[in-house]
Amino acid sequence: MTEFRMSSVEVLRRVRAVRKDYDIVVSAMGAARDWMALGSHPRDWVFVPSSMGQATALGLGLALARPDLRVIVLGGDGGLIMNLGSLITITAQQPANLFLLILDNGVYEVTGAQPTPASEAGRANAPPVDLAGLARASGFRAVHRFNNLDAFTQGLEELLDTRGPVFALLEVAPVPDAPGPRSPGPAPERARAFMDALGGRGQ
Amino acid sequence: MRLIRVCREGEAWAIAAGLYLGGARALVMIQCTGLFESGDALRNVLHDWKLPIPSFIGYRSYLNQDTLPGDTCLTFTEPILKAWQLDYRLVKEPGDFELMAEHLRASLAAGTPGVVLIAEGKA
Repeated sequence: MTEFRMSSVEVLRRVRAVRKDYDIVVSAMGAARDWMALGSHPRDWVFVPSSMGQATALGLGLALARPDLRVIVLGGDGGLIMNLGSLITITAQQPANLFLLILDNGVYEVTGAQPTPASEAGRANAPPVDLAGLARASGFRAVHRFNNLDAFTQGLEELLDTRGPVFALLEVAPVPDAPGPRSPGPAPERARAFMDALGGRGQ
Repeated sequence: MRLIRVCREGEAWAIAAGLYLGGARALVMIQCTGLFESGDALRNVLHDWKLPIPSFIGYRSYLNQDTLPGDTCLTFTEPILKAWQLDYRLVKEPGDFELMAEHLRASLAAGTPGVVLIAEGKA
């Protein structure tokens, strides 16, 4: 049976179309590469360089510091399973303004598309791990799974208008021979510009 | 003040980074074992992005080793802090609290990530 998966670029194009000017968007790894290719925004936190798996945690910190803004985290399944505990840390705080959009391609794309141990190809005679089920069990207020671009397009705005924390698993196709994301500039300067765009500085 | 409990210490650095970027004050409080666990996260936050997040780190078994004789935390904690190029002060008794405060004030003023290493007596 052929599994249908969405194009990650098309998914992100839909997110960009509905993203409000005040929204903070955190992107990491392959999602950061594709998000940057679609343009830039002062409130984009392109998490490159990153510590893999920490985009959800950084998004939580932003959401708690700025409850007046929506924080949308664009991450991957590889990063998520590297830091599954962050699902529990997030739901312990119940940030109403945090939205995790996890692009699940089943592989570690930027290191050569090795299967993750959660994917069917990465497991020995075991079904793939139900990542959306893990989010549900962790206590997210709303959990979604999309493998159809039309359905995602129709449901996205409503999803982002829901009280968070919200988790959405987006089943996307890996991009063959995809390069890793490149930093768009010196990190400390980008951090200062991002803080300026949010209108405040850490103390 | 708001306490954010984490599942592993690496998360603490990234959450603190998000808080700082969003305009809040953040302090990471972990034990030295968590320091060992969270190296890549602190490398990214403190060195790549140069965010001046202060931290309190408990120094397990420093005052005695009654619970864990031969605790290797004594072997590795300070060399690892030095390897990560973190400026720390060791607090061993209540009289050292002024040293702690002074170090944090100086680190904040300099925009660097000051570390206070707090001696513990039990594991």
